[in-house]
Amino acid sequence: MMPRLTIYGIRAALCWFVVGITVGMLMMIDMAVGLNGVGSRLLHVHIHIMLFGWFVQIIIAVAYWMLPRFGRERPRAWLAVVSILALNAASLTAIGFRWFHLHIHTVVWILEVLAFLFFAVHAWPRIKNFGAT
Amino acid sequence: MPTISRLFVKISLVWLALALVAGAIMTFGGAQFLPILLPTHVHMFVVGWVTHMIVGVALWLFPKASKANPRGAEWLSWFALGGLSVGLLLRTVAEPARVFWPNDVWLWLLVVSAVLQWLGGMAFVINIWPRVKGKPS
Repeated sequence: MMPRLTIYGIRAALCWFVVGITVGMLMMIDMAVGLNGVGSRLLHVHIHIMLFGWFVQIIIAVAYWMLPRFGRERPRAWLAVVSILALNAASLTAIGFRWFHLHIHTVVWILEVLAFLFFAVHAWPRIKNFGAT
Repeated sequence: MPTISRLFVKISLVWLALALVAGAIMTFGGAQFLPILLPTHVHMFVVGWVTHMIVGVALWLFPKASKANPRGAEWLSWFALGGLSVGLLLRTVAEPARVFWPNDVWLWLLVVSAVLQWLGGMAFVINIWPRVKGKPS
């Protein structure tokens, strides 16, 4: 059965996928007809959303569901929760900071690195044979 | 494994091979190929390889939509396959062609490719959304 964190993570990833491909399409239309330079302004947002909001998030959400468990437990699940929260905060920050013309990289990258670290610490012990303790 | 998933996964492997070829051309063909092929190369990887693989596996493994209709509206999955694959193929042709033979036609083909990929992506999201759930039907 799909756990609740996986459901939220996949649904969030699908939402970011929709946002990311919409931004990508607008960038291409901007190249053809000119949409006030939206293409060059949104390139970094497009990259962050597609890489971390979509790819990394759906992989983490499915891995949280699929990796071997300890009995029926997924120990230290809060680490995976923080990871998913950090990924979504990173994508929101990327959009928000771009909107207000601020430099996006530092905060976004810190959140993305935190998401990786928290999930890696959660998942590492679960990478084992099924049934192993 | 359903036919649609097998097609998505096999096509993703073809895109990975093509992305590697584009990478080899950039590496060994000289510096002039880097700005021409880099965006195409990146999209071959992320749309062709990663997204096709994710979509194919999701359509196969996610909980069934219902007993009567386990994979939801299958035509949406086929539409997603067509949109993503044909859209990316158009981009792969039009993006380098625009540099070698400058013409507005290539630019408009790039817009068509982006719209096709958007439609394909939306079809996938609409069809998979009800299958992201806790209890299998």
